[in-house]
Amino acid sequence: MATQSLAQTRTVSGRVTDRTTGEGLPGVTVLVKGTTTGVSTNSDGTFTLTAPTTATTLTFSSVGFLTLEQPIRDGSITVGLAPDSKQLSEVVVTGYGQQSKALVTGAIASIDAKQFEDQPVAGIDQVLQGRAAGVQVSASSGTPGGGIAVRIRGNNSISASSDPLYVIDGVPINTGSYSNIAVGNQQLNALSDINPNDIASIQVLKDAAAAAIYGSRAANGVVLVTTKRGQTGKTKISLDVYQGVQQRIKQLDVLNGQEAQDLINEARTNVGLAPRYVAANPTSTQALFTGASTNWQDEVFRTAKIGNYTLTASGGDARTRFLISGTYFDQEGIVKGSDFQRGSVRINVDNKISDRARIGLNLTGSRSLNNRIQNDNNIYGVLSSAILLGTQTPIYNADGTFARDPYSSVENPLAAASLPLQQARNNRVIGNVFAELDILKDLRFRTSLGADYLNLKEDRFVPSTLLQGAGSNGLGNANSRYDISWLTENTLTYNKSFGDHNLTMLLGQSAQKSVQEGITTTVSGFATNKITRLAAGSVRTEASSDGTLWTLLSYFARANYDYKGRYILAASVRRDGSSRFGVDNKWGYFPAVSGSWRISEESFFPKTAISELKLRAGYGQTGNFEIGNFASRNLYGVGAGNLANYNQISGLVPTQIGVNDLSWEKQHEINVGIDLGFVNNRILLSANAFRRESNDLLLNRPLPLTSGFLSVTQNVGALENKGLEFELTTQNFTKDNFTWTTNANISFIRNEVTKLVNNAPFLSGFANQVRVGHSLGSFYGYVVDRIYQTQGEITADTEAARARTGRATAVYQQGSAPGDIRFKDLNNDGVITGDDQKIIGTAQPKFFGGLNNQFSFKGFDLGFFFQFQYGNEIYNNTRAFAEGMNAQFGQLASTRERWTAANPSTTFPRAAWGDPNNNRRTSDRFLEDGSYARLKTLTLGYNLPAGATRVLHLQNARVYVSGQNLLTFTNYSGLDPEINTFSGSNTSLGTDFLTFPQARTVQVGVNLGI
Amino acid sequence: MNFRSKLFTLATLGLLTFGASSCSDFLDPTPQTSVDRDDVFTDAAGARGAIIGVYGAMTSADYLGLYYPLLADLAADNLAHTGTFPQLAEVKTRNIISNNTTLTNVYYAIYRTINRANNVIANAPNVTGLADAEKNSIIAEALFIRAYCHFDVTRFWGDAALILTPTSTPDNSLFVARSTKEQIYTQVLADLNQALPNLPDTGTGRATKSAAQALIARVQLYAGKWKEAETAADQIINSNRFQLTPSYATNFTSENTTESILELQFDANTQSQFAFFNLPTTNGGRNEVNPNGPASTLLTAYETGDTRRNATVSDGTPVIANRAVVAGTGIKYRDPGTGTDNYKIFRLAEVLLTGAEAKAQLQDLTGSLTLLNRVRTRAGLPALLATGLTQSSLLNAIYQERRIELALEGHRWFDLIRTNRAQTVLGITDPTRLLFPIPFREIQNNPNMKQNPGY
Repeated sequence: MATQSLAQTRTVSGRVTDRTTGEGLPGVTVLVKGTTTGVSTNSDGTFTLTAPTTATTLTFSSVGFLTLEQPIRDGSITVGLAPDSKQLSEVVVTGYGQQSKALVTGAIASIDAKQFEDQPVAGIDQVLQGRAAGVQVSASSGTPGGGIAVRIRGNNSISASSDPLYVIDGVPINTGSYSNIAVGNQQLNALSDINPNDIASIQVLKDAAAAAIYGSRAANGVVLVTTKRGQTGKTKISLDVYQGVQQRIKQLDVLNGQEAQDLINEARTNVGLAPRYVAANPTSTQALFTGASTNWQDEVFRTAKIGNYTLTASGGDARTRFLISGTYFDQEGIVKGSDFQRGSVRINVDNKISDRARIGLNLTGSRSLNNRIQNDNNIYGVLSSAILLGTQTPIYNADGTFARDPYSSVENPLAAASLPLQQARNNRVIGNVFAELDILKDLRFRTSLGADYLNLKEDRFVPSTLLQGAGSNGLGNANSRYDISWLTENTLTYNKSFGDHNLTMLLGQSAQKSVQEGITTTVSGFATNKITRLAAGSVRTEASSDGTLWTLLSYFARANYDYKGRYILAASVRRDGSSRFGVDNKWGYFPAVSGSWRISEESFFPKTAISELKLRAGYGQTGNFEIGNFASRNLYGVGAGNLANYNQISGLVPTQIGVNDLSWEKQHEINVGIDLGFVNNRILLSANAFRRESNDLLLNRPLPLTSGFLSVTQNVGALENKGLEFELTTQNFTKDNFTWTTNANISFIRNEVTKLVNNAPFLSGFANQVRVGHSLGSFYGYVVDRIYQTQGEITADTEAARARTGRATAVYQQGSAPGDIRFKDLNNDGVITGDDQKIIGTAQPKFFGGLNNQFSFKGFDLGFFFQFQYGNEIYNNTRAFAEGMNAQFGQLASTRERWTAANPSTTFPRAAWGDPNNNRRTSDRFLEDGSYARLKTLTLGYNLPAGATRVLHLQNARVYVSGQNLLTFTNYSGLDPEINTFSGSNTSLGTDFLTFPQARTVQVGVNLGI
Repeated sequence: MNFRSKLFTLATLGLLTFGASSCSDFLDPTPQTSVDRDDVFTDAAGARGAIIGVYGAMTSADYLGLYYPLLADLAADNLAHTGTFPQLAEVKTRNIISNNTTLTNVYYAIYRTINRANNVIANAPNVTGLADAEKNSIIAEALFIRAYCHFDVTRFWGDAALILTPTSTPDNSLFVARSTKEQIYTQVLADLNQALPNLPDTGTGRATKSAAQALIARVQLYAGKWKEAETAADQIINSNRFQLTPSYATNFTSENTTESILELQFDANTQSQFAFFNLPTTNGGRNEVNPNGPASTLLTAYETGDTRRNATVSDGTPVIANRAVVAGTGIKYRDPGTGTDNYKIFRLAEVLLTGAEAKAQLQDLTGSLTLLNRVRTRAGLPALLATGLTQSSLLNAIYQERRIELALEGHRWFDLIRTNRAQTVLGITDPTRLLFPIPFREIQNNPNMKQNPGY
């Protein structure tokens, strides 16, 4: 600036911020448009440059952000850059390395933290929902800290796990439920220990070509989580806080107390029994009408609070960078009695020892407290009893104690919510230390030692004032479970360019060992309900410890080659040995090759609107080793759980038969894809087609029960997933003060079981069946024909049955009367038997996806995100009880439509105590369309202008309001279409049974930079 | 191993394995709560543990810990279904779907017991370090239990798979076809006769000679072999090893009484579920079944003055879990909290009635009446007089006595079936309902397994 140039110049200054956070952005290239004159912004985002007076426009560009143009004007120029999550120049993390997105040959989905950072969720699995094509995320329930099913390109297994492998900063972590206390079907979720605020980005390795580097654990895809790290520059302190309220989305409409009692009476008199409720002079088995009308759902649902508080400090100098953060997350459940709290800290440090050597640390520790309630398939649950207990029962007795229905064993829902103690406390430490040494300029050695430590402590106390504790005079458990996983990894990476040829090679080795130990104790006969620890109990019914472990030893190699970024090839292989497999099959190889051709980089490619054209293809083999640790062996076990003990003497019993050649599941996958960019990549379309065959499935093959075993784990099934995935990113507007970007994805996945043992189908859950030629999650049952209107119809059926079968006593259907359902005789043999069932639907959607729109206007930002699935069915088992009209259960208002002589319904059967016709059998009666579209999140934010933040002594400040699940479009009649009572199952899918629904959440939050 | 040495071990392991081709110890860890099946029948402790495990299998809630006896009263007219389980409602209405999970579980629990017994029968002979007397006794107990289980299968399902070897590999040898009821009776009696010489004379909660004789008497009664049934019953009765307790109720307020021939033992660590299912919620139960309710006629079946009524169903005065038990509730099982109620497999009273029935069938009306009246007078009822008694009226009196004496102990359905009275008494029009369906999954998984007609 010392010399005057010939042309006249002027000084332009200003500040560049991240539009979503308001923080200053360092390193942004600020150019005078059409020239090479420019500067980079400082660490706080400020810049000053000298521009010719003739210049009118500045361009602002930075990796990961949309390029912006801004006219030069007098005074300070402040611009906010909007993040570009889909830019081709971004770097993606792959297994044991990273590469430019342009050079990726496999199917990898990237999700930047910007997309979910203000979402009120407990775990990383939830943030994946709807964000990536081919990744289907189904919350099993709205239980705080509960289980979530993440399925990458479909269900790939029948008996082994279908959960992907989660790798956090290079450490594969333990997932699943470690609970030893049965409180119903909804499980704990070890992933909820990971704080989503720590995440910088998530990469999902979807196809086998990308995932095969993780070998025998990659069959279900791999989720690589990269946590935030410190940046060189001034120490930044940021505070992120949100608080919100959650509410139920809907409630089931139920009969009032009088209607409920009338229905019970009608059900009884319809089968020749005396009415239960009378107005006067009850007999010993009767009662007076209660006069009560309690809507139990009103009593157990609540408006619940949710909050998250994160304080982060990060920064560093040329040698050392660091990030320290602490978060407290607090969520009440919308069903009384449930809540989840988590405190966590993270420390990430990188240090340059010299120009050639670096060391680092990633460490997170968390402690969570989950107050659980009994749930789902459970007469002692909170929501379950709120539906199963009739409205004729009052809340309290005259003496203030909780009232119960004397004719029913269902617990009082408020007692179930308030009296028991069911706590799960989890301590978790995940981390690794690593060292890198550049042995040669192009050759790097990296060694790391990682660990995942988990300790779950569970305490339960059921006081004698609860039905469940009345007989035992109080019941308590205290359980503790550890899982300690160790990992050592060593890799050599060679990276060199020879002119236009670029080569990267990787050679590595790892060893992992995971040891689990548990202690379980159960005591009953408590002195008082005031002391809940087991010391107060007198009868020790269980005291046991256990232990198990697995080991994995691996070697792997990979080579990536490209010529001018135009022709790209990648190949990898991994060799895994696992303790879980049989002696004849300890080791396996998992190879993969893939390549791509960026046609748009060719010299012959015309300069048209098409700015990027890339074809990709890949093939790989992966495995799934998620079976029991010793599943290949023939074992004798011990303990009460195996029914090994008798008369206070312990015994030994056969518990398992195994096969010596037990091996991993083998997946072969072909993926072809195309990436298209239009108008300078403002429109990016990515499409993938894949076909994945899973062979040698680890199947808990059902054995004839006469063998004395339920099943044996063998490599016998096969299934296939094939699908199409589309992702579209458009930058609809990129004007200086208005941007609008859209991300849309949609996936069509077809799942088909292709082989079972002797191809014999088997049942699962309430209504699912696994059958060759159909998808996992298929529903199996009877088919409703119509409602019998007259005795004549039944007689005619009986006569036809006798004529058809030649048996004089044959009947078409046992126990039928007018008003009962006539089921279809599918095999046309004249009588209804087990053979008259068929596949009546499936829990697998025809397609699913997400649609995200982000707008920014001056300081405002607006985002809304829809998530949807279509074409799946839900088996509403709640209705099998709440519309059963067979007993004492609470009944839905829909039963007003029931068949009576006066109201000869053609759709709704009669009330009948004991259900002699078995109208409630598994049939298409309870199968419903489960399609839905949901406004998953809606966020409106405002970045305070620089003037205001300066006055407040802040670097940046953003306030926002956000909502979750604000709108749901569905025909499903239950509480929530996004459920599965069989949390974590591969084969029992899409079933609703008294399941905790998702909440609607509204929150306000601030992001402050200090 | 402390933290540092563990780190060191893993780090060195990592480095050492870099070039090594395998690391067999690392990949071959030892299970910590199981042993390989080849390491079980290698010493006395293994054989003793294995026979305990056979009894353990019988304690399952799916077998003699609850469901098997409960279903026999529920399917008949001794219990109403008052609870929540649809599977039990199906049994009550006898409109059973073949995938009924409760029946599937009962079927499995019986065959699991058989497989455990077969493991003992096949492997115990090779155990070293065990005196022959004890070894033979262990094998005899396993034979007794195998016989008991096979007999139980035929009672609900009729013809059934006869399993005489332990399951060792999951191959096609598991596809067993059904044997006829008569073939099963033959094998059951063969097992019992093989076991008899080696069973002990006495013992609590374990198979004895008397238990084997009691089972022979029961099997022969079901088979209609009156002479053989009479002989077996007389052996027990005349041994004078067992005496009726002066009060009927004593059998249910205490355990292992003088009339108990074999009781399956339950305690806080191995719990039965009878009381939990029978008692109402106020007494710590779940009110799943109750003698007082639809399609149960038990309450009206008692003669006036029968002391067994108040020992079987509450009159409103008994107290369980600090609350009076509502009138009409079954109270033979009284501990819902810790499940210590034993299951009475054989009581002398049953043997007396078996003897009485066999003698009546053999036209020994006087001998029959003597045995019947021992049961009646203990219950506080007047002795039946021989005057005007025909064989048929005596048999009906015995049937009635059996129902009352053994109510809620798992006999009623079987007694109605074997005496061909189920259809008339229970009003069953379709005789296919007299057998339970073979579990649906069994038909699916065993190509040689045929379903009962009508399912």
